[in-house]
Amino acid sequence: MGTVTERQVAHIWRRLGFGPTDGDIEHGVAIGTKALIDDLLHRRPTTPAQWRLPKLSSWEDQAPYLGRQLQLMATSPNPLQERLAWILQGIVVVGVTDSVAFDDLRGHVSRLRVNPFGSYTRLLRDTAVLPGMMKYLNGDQNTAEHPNQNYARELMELFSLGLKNLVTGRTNYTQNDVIQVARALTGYTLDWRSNRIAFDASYFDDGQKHFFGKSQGHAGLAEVISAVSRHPAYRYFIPARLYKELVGHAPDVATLKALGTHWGTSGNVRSVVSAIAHSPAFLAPAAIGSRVKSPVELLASGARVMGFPLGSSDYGWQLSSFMNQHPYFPPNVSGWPEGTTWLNAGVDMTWGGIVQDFAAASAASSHGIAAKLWLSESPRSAPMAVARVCGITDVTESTARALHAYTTSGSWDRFRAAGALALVLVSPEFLVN
Amino acid sequence: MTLTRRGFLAHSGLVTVAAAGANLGLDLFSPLGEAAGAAMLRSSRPLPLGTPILVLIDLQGGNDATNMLIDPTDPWYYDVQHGHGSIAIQESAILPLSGVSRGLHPSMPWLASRWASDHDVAFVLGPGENVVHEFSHFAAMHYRQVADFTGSVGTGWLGRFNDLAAAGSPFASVSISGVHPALVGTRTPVLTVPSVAYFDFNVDWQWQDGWLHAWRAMGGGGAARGTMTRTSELAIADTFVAQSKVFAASDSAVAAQFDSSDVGQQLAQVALLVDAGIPSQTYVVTLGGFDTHGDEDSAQPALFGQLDAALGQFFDVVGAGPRANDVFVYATSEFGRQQTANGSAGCDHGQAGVDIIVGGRVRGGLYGKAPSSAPGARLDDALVPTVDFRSVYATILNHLGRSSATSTAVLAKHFEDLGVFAA
Repeated sequence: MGTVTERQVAHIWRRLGFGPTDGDIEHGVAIGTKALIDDLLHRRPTTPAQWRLPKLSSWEDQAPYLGRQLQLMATSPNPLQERLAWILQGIVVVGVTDSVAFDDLRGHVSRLRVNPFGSYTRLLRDTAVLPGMMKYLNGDQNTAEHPNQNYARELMELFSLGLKNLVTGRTNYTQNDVIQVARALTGYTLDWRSNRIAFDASYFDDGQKHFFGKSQGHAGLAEVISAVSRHPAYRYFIPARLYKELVGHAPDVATLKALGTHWGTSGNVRSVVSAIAHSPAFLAPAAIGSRVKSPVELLASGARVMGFPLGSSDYGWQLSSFMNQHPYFPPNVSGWPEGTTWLNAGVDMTWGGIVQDFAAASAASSHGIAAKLWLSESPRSAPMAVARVCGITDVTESTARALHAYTTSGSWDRFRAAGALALVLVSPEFLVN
Repeated sequence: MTLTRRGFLAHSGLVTVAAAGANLGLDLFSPLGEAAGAAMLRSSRPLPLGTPILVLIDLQGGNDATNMLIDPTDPWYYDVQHGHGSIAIQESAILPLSGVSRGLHPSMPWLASRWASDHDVAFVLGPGENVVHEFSHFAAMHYRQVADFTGSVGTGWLGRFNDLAAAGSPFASVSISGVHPALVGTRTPVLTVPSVAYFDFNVDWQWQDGWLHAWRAMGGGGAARGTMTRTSELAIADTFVAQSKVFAASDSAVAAQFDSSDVGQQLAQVALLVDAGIPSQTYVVTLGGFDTHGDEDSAQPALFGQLDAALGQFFDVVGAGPRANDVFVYATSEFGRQQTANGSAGCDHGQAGVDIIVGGRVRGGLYGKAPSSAPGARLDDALVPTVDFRSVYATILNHLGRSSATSTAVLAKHFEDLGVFAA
């Protein structure tokens, strides 16, 4: 059994990054949970030059780009930036479609990654007129003469307000508001040759609009974003989502109101994340191990533990065809499901195959984690050591017995150590987050 | 929201559940001990021949059914100002359906042919909901998945059916593309089978001795009840229970009869599992892309074409097997779309749509009532539903449970049975 602090340190790494790796728990215990949280909150964001993301302009580019993005999740010096960028990719959703090209997706994802700690309101404004979002939700087809409601609806429902105010329970907008906001968002057109978005007043509906219960004058995009950010529900909707992602359950009303103050009209992500991470609820027993790792999280966390080079691998097929979570092909504009839906046979069996690759790479290296465990542990001491290396501070009796039976049968060599590592990665304890 | 068994019974209504249980041959009030229950419920014997089997195809995004089952006599359909105008299908291209004025989209030749040859194609006109008139995809999908508008039910309608008919069975609720929420119950796990042929364990030979045994043992139930780790253990245990039987269903010759389209491959998995006698009455597959705010004139032919071809291949395979008269497909969407084309060669979110029910024991024909398409009769340009979608569910549930009480037990309320199925 781990100590309370060890458990909390591992939890901090799982929720503010993609899990601990060898030595992270010991270091976190040494400096304390508050210092660790502050450290993760205030690391310098990595820059596009550091990301070294390859080009993404065709289907063939997809694998190296995805591999590099997953590699950054696993190894970035700023794990929280990666975690938040991934959370945002599941909120402000764009996917590759017949009209959205890979390069459009790259532009969108890059905007999410470059400063996920900053103003969410600004992020909404920026992504609204990037080719990815414009094409994904038909913004480029939304004209004064023929308004298209797609982006207007999802902007409010999914990206900013939600259907109902999470504190008051009131309905946030009407069908007529969708129509009016769609009118205000007209005027942006796509030049297909340059793939650039430009405002063309001849396509803009310059008429009077009325939404959110009042006249909004000749509102356009800037006014829509401003009105959304001042809507009473704006301060609760995304903060509640961030809270659930980081803590594992929904916030109570008092907590949500406090988070709303941090969020304000600018959508201050860093302030809200800091408030959540420093709240007692974040480290409470109810939060620890209360989430399930999604397939992307499994890959990033597992590769981080095993030192596996995701950047030179291609798991796009497994993610899309068997695990239903390819980062560039969300099922729809609401992103991916969450929770126990990831605990299913399709994910289990596919993940069980992927960990074989991770373990084989480790076993093939005389400097890998498998060799290190083989040399430093005995078959009897190995189970707990292997779990610990994988960031697991507590294992159930059944897992402990299964690992013990495995490590004490056959000869103890680095292949068996690799097999034990693979077993921990598919254990019930590793699947949760 | 997770409901206990007791909570489920309370939500369902004790009296109606008891009635359904009797008809289903279940004693819902006997205290099933976990071990005894598990032994019984983990039975993997094939369903008796004659047991109805549903294949739900979830057409995600809001299918523009006005362009699927087309009424060229509708004076508003071709109207440029108030109808489908530029995205309407030319009358000469519509595939006629004998005996009715409506016809099918030109990309659906198999369905049109089946209508004439087997008389087991039913279309339900006007399904939707008049409770909240939801225009949001995700709220509308949720309402259809749980079949409830009170906000107090978190389980899916098919999950609740299996909680009654096959509680605890690791085979009963089969989802091909991830866990479909309609299948989520309180006692019955959802088996996801993305590929029958790949439903096998793959362990490196260098450490394989004892590896699978150890993994399976980890699902043995060491974690405290109510924890996520416990749920994770159960998923591992269910995976091991289902694996060998599912993998044994693999048949590359059958799989090769299907197109490579996503829906084709999903239906191929269902056909393999049905033919192998997997004891499930409920399979769910999904086909996305119906959110045609734009470019519907290119998207819809592709979608309908894939669906139609996959249906043909599916019934070719299943029709040659022993369950030809048992299996039926129900294709539905969270809503229809607006009646006025939006200028992006598409149309925005609507309300009433059209459902397809085809296959075993289906009495072909039109059911329900077509909503008025007159602009003045529309709701925000959408067709106002004439059939509560829960009536379609009730029709299907009563057939699956072979009892008119089944739907009331699952839906906690009586809804009209549309009489689509022959006795």
